[in-house]
Amino acid sequence: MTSTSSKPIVDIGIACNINQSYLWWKDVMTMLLQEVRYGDAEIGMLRTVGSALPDHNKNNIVGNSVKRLSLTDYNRTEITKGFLDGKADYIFWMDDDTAPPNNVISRLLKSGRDFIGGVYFLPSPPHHPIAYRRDPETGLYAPVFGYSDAALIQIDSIGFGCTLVHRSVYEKIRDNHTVFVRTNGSLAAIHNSRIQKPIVTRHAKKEKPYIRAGIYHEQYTQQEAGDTRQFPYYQLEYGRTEDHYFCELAESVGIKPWLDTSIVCTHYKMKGAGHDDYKQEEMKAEGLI
Amino acid sequence: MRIAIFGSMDVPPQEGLEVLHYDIHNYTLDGQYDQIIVANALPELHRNQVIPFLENAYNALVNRGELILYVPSAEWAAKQIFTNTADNITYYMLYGEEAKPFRACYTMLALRTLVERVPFVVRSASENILKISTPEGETVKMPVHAITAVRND
Repeated sequence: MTSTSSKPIVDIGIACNINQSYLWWKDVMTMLLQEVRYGDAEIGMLRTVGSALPDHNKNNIVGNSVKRLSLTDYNRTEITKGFLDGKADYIFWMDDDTAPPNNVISRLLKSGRDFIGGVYFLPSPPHHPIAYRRDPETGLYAPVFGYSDAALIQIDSIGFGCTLVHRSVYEKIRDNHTVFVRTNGSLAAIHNSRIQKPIVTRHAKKEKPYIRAGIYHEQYTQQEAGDTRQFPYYQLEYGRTEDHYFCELAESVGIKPWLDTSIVCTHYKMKGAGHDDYKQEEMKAEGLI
Repeated sequence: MRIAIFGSMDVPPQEGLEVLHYDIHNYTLDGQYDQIIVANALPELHRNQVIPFLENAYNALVNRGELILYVPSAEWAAKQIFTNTADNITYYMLYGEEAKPFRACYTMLALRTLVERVPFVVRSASENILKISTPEGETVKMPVHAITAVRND
């Protein structure tokens, strides 16, 4: 279901937290008010982890709020479920320590891209942007570095601290993948083109995963109808953050994220870190200072 | 498909493709185009001619038609100057050549701001390498800003 409003409806998703600065509130509330008054989007539900709103406001949370102690991948997946069950066209993800600039949602919408984010930086040196390109040889991600201000570029992975996603991205991922249960009980989404039949729901004899001739083998069973866990759009695993997992799912259905470097957030931790800190590191790397 | 090209760039011939070349100082865009490519020609215009040129391009495109701009990277050239590593290509990027002097140099931010003011919708804005031929017949690689923008009524 999508909106019938002339403006697209955008839910706000806030799924992770560690440190929340009081400075964050001013920036975020100003951004949201600007968007409501002057923007090209209708703000829909605010879907948050509990910690993103102070306790006395919890009763006022609109949308689904999830427990703050849950891991970020679980929080994101639950928020995604609420978004997909609702009527919004897009979800704008931010963290409760990233403060996007005014009109961010309208500017991201204007690009016409279904999966696009702004820049926010690692709070500590080298202050690189939380946006990545993948080395095709090793599969490892390296941060985007040395880009032009105001670039609009396609990348391989992006953090979800300032990122807009159209619901069609989630739907396309869901429709093109089947969910399996691994031997450790966790879920894995496998692209339908990579599944060879027969699909099983139970193995007669349980075997541990093994490697033969350089290929990893593991027993997977299809997720049963009674298993109420959500589609695993986000997974914290292999020492990686959950955004890489989502970006790889999206890439498998032909959608890669875009990065608009004209949109710059502040990443609040103990102190704000932003574009100036990144530029210092970039200039150092290039021998300019 | 109908393409207008400003600057020295060519497109391989294809069936159903009409390619028309124009001089950025003396042109009349007749009819509508699916794509307008401006390769290394925008810096030849004085600053006060840039917005009128982009507006003409906008009006000459069909709805959803594309403007593709290649412009020497001012940031790259400035770094070469700052680090005392400027060479011929750096000076060409900043000043052009005698027959076609450059009147302006663009950062990505300046270029994108101009394009969005017209009001194109920028679909991509990236760094690229443009191969250009020198008067001596040598091919050199030049860092450029590449912007793809669409008319979206």
